[in-house]
Amino acid sequence: MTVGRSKLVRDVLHLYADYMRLSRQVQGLRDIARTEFKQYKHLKPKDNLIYIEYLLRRGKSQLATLQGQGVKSISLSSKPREQ
Amino acid sequence: MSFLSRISSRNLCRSANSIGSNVLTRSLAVQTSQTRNTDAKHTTGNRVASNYKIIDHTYDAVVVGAGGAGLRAAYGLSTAGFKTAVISKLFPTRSHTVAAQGGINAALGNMENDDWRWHMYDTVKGSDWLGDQDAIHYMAEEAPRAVVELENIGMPFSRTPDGKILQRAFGGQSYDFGRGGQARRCCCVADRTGHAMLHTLYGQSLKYNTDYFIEYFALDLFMNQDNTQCIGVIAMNLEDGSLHRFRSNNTVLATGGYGRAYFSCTSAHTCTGDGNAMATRAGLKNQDLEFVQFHPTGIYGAGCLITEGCRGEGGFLINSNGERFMERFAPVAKDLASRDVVSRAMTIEIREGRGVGKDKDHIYLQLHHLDPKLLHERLPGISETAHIFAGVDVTKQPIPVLPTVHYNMGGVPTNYKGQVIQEKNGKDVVVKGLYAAGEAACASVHGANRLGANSLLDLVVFGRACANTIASENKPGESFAELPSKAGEASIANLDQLRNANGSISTADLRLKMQKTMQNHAAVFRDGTTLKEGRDLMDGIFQEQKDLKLKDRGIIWNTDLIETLELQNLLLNAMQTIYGAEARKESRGAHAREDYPNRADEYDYTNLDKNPITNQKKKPIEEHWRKHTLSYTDPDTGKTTLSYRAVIDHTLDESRCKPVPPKPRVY
Repeated sequence: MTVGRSKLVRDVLHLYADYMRLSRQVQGLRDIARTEFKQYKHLKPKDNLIYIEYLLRRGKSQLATLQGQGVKSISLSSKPREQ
Repeated sequence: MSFLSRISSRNLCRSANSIGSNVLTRSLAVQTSQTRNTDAKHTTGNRVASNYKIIDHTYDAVVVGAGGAGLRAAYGLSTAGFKTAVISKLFPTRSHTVAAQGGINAALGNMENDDWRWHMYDTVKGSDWLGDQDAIHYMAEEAPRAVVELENIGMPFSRTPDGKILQRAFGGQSYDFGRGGQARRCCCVADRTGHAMLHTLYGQSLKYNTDYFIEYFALDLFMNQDNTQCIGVIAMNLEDGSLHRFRSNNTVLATGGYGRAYFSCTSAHTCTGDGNAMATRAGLKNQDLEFVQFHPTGIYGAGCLITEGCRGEGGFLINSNGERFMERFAPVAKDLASRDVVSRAMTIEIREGRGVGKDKDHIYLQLHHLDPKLLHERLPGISETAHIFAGVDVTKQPIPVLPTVHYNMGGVPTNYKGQVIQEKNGKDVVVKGLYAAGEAACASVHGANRLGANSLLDLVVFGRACANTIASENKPGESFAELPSKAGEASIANLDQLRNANGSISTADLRLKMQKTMQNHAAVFRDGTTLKEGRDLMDGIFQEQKDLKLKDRGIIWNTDLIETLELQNLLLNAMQTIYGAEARKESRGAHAREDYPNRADEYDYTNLDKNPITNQKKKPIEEHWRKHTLSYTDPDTGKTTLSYRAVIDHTLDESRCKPVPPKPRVY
């Protein structure tokens, strides 16, 4: 439903779309971006407005870095060390 | 369920972008109960999850460092059509080049008749015959062109009444191979030449298609299987903690010096020898690190630099008797003798009890006999510096000064083209794909001692040389193999280990220990016992790295982590410096030893009339000290090994410029 989506929700969706578009050029971005968006999916604007805005800003700046002319791929370091 | 236990032990969680908002802290406290703690700001004693994002880039050329040399190399590479990346841990105009005051030497001949061969002679003599004469020939010959090029891109040089570039007198410069008196060869922009140059270069660099990675800390170099070629760099984005691997067949190191290894230095806090340490960790040897220049006039206490240009404009140094003591030590050049000569003279005066001040531990630099209008026009920066940091009015009182660590003559060894070289079986071997320029490199144009105003020249000439060499040997858009998928694992492991470090000594304390040790044991005058003592202390300090304690566990702008990485780099540099100094049993240039006060060359050059070379037997390289030190410290064990390499005594072309044979160095 397009009616009733707040600007914040639209920004997040546009950012996601930009990442998916970019993931055609940058290998490995699709899964990493999806995981990260999923990680913060549960956040509610009522409680976490400023944090969501920060995450949006961070996402946009990281997108800009990934759009650089030399970027080839993205991956995660292989050793996740847990407690 | 460990998340919940962590929440209960945490009172308030401050976010990296905190604006003191209660809403923010409340919302974060809520979110941490549900998500993984990747942005942890406080240690709770548990290891943090470490799953770094690694972004791979490919470029034709990568420049590490965005000071004078880095920006000049990037400018040259971009104009040649190479897809270039510049990685810098600082914003380009905050690099230490901006603090350079004096000027750039070039034999333009605007004041009196000049010849670049005289400049070349002065530089060879200044280096105490440890400089490679082909590189010095190259630099002196290219100097006028380099300065005119800077002027053409808009550097606002000070002008003579005719409108030509003003050239002032500077230490160690003479006409007619030392026979023609003090030369005026230093092109300057009042006393803020470095600032003008860096801003000009930065403005120019924005015009071209270069990608800037600002506030990215370069961690390590990537080398191929047999360590003969450099294939890239790994850097960490300080802003979000992601790692970036740059694959490139051409890497230029322009990371500057390591003044911060000493307690009192004129360098910024960011001068930590990152390039030298990256080369060491890549298995390469550094050259001549024991040669550390002490600038005669750093403000007593603060360490801020008072340029040699003051002495060039007519200022002089006086001791407690009000005597202009440099006339005794350097009868011809007086206060404009080479910097190591002046530093030693000042230290001798202080040691013999003629120092000024309450503790008689410094010297005065007198400028108040000069015309105040001249001081205002030609030396505005130092007038202000002296007022702020020493509380003196230069038109009325002398400035308290002391020799302070200023420049590192040593660095990554290169040839005159800017290519990094190593020594194998007595021959110089080029490391493919790796270049170095500026203070991080050792070309070696400065040898055992650098003349003032030659450093800014070194930056532009060799920055350009690196770009030209890369352009001549490669084509833009060349394809090459990818990095191995596990490349950078060691760097990431080190980063991870530091982030979780929970030992007993903090970075700041260990750094202070190292700085005090270096200051006390490897200063202006060195002797065997103090150097040996310093060496053993440094061995201990190096091992204490394993016991570091970091409090900040985050990845976003973790300054604790960055300072620790810089400390690791400084320690590698400091070890090689003090080992090299202890091993070199002679006095040459800036390395002055009380127990070996003379130069030990292959022939005895001190009295060529009575004892000419033809009567002497040439000493083999193992028995004399006119050779470059090549040093390597194992990053894990701290074991430092030294080897030696011969000085290049021939010029590029004997018909254009004759080499300068060694002789006694008197000013």
